[in-house]
Amino acid sequence: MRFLIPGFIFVVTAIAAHIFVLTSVPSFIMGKAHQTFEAQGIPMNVWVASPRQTPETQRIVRPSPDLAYSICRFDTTNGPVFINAPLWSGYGSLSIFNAQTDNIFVANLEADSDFDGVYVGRPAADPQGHSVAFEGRGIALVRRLAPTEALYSEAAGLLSGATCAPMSPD
Amino acid sequence: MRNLLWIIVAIVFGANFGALSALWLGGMISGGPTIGNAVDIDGWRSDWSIGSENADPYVRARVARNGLMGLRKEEAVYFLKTRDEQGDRLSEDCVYAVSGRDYLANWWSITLYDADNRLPMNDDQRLSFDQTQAEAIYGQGAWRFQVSAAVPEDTDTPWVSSRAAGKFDLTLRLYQPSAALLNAPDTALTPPRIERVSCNGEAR
Repeated sequence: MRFLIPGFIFVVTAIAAHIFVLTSVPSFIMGKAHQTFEAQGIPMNVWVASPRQTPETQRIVRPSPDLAYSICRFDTTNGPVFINAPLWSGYGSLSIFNAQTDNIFVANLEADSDFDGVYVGRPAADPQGHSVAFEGRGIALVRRLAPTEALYSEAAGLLSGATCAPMSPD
Repeated sequence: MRNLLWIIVAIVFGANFGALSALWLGGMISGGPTIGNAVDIDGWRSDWSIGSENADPYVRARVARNGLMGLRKEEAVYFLKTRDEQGDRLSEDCVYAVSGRDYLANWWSITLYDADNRLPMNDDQRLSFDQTQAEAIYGQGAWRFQVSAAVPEDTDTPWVSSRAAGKFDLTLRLYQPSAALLNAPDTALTPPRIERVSCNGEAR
């Protein structure tokens, strides 16, 4: 009986700490990612091409050296954000991640895709249906298959045609 | 007074035990689980809930730590293997022959990562082997490449460098996998084989 109450408290405290830590990890790491990108000079609402992924340039865990990455940090707190990126001759995708690291949206960017952008905000920012319900800060990521330096340069050059900006739907 | 002391001890130890067990099971501590293990085909492990809102908190934490911004399964699936066909840990001390065939996916790649989830710190510029290389060298069908810390003796052999990788893993990415692969991975996927050829220059 002497250890019954301390034992019960141990179990309850352990469960509470376990749940708290476990559920805090994704948002903590995503927050650190935002901080890291910001420190590297990646502003909000601007597409930035990551350098070609090598041991020296890798910024995130497990990058694919065959892909050209572009990233945009955005925040829908003050209204929807319109996100778009040009299509690509090989494999390509545009994906959006929330603060919990969930991949809440992905679009095909290959040449035969009909993707022409998405409104990100709350609740349905675009009455046409090209929208994703979203609140707060997120990250958009473009992946393009670019295993050579020439293809990487070509992929990075597409950023001038990409959009990641606060905007009201038409 | 003694009872109060026991309660404080219970709180301190309980909080530490709960937090450390969460960090371990969430893949935050070196040596803990990496990504999910719900799918296991010949030691190539994956989890279809990666990137999904339905992922359980353990998978979500492991992905945040070991594969941040992983895509949901309809766009990509990730398989990770840390051991060769004999069951030994993959090591830069050994030479491996990796072989396979085409996959039911739009594009695939195999990349080598060290124990810290990073590309190994070498300047060999041989970090991965992908479908475009396989098709350029072998055409459609079977392919093969070598994993080693040094350039293969036969310089025509496709090569992925393990120099400075220590204990490493190989990660198979399958982009836009077919519905058949997602529905029945055990039958639709024949994963690559990792045969150990030699270690420290001696055949094994």
